[in-house]
Amino acid sequence: MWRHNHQGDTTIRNLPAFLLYLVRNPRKTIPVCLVIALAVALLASVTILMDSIGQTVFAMYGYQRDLTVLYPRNTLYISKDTVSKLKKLPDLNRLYPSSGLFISIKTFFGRTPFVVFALRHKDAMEILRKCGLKLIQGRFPDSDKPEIVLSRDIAANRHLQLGDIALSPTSKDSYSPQPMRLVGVLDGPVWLAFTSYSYVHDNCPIALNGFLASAKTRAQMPALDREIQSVIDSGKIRIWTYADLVREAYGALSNLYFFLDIITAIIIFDIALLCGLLFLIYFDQRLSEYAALLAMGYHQGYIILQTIQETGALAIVGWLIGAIMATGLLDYLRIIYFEPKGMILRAFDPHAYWYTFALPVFIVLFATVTISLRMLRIDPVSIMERRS
Amino acid sequence: MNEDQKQGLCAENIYLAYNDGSDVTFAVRGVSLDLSDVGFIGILGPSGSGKSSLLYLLSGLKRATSGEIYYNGRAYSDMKEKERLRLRRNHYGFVFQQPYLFDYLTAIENALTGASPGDDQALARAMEIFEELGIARNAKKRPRQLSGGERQRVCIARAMMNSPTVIFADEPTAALDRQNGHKVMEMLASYRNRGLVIVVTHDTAMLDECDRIYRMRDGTVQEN
Repeated sequence: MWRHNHQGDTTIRNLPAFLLYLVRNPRKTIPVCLVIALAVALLASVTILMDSIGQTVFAMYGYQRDLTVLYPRNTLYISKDTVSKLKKLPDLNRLYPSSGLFISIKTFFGRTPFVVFALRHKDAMEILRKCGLKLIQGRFPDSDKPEIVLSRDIAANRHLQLGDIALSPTSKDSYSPQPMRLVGVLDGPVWLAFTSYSYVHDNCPIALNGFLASAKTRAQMPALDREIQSVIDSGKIRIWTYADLVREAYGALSNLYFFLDIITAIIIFDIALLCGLLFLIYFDQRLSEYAALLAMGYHQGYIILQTIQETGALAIVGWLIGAIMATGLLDYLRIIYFEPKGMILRAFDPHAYWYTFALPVFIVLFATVTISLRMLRIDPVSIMERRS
Repeated sequence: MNEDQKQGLCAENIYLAYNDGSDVTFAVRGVSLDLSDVGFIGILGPSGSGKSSLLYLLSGLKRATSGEIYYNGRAYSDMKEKERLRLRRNHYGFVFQQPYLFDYLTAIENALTGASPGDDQALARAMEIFEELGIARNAKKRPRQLSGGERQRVCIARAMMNSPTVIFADEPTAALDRQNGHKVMEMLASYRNRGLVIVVTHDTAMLDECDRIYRMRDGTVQEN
């Protein structure tokens, strides 16, 4: 349509016609763009915040990808007979003896106990390597001493510095017979807390004595879990596997995602309707233009294509602005709120932005259908005869 | 009539009827015209006489209820919709009573909307036409920055972009004062040697330069 660019006299050279209209009509395009951007920012933010729950849960308990946790029920020890059966399992690599204390952490759902594994030094080193964790501050706990090493996020969550007391005899939910100091900080993809095995063994006579079981590779873990379940008596031993974690986490989140889907659908429908109607109003305002073009011999399909390109360009720009707004806002939130509490928030979460991509798609679809129907009914002569 | 003989624009006994409930109103009744390839033709008549309807029939924007219109021997009724679009796009030019310019395009960009797709020389030709019509200094201005007369000249430039064989002008001076109206008519008249210009107006004073004038009354035509 307007393919001939006016060399040297316009500031916008070689700009396609549909962009020319958008760029030169900011009073019409900016409000629509902002409506789309705000809707995208809202949807993306809610989705990213929701995803953050799952991401935090999987980071907290992510060590279960490499370790299956076994603790006795109704007794303090797992029987020797069961241990010997476990040791014969084909996919078992190691059984790490472990007791447990708990440290309370703040989560989206309130305060939650997080297990502090009592591990022998050599076992702890092997587990850290398996889980991709490394010591970034301080040192490892000395044997027999009430000392603890925490992942950085747990320390942040509890606002603990090296030397601070993490567990104490008087604490309601982070109990240790003696005040337990933070001596080391770990960094890595999952959370872990551990203390000296001998300290817990010697000072906590009623601590449960269980095991952490590992396979040679992460890929063998599901097979190992099945083998463990086949040899243990679930009335006497409780096990925590990664498969259970995933099932429980998704089970808990599925309702939230269902609500999110409903909200998303309502917002997308509302905004698509609103923007589609706005585009239709703008289209009607330009009817005389289109009538003139049709009279001059332009094909309806070509004009429809131009208006769809205008709508699409505006929707995509709005989407991009919304995505940038959401990323900026959430990154700010991550820095000031989430990270200090040890909670995970991925400001740029591709899943969330895919979720919002339905918005520009529906806007363009809605506008295309309504504008095409309108265009097909245009009689250029009747419009020009009104001599508006 | 032998179709081979029909060069230029011809109308044969054309009618245009509107159904208004049970009533049928004829905007054009039995009009026959044989228009040559070049010249400046005026169609004069009072409001409601059917002159604009006749113009839209001749340009292919409306379909005749009966009768036939030929362009270079080819009947409109034999043409497909795409062919008629191509005819209007590549062989006809239009000047409407209202300018119908795009307010977000400059004057020269508006003129370029009348060019054929892929015409590399369009910009240079548009500038030549602007020079010829005396609006070259307004090339970069937007329509709202132009006077009524200047806007109508941009429309004439747009209509001339394809060097059309026929320019159809529907009341091109209706929104202008007398002085500007005469200037616009002079510009349209200047095209008479390059193609056929058909102007519809109700103002007799605007048709001084016409080679031929048809008077319309109640949908019928009389040559003056």
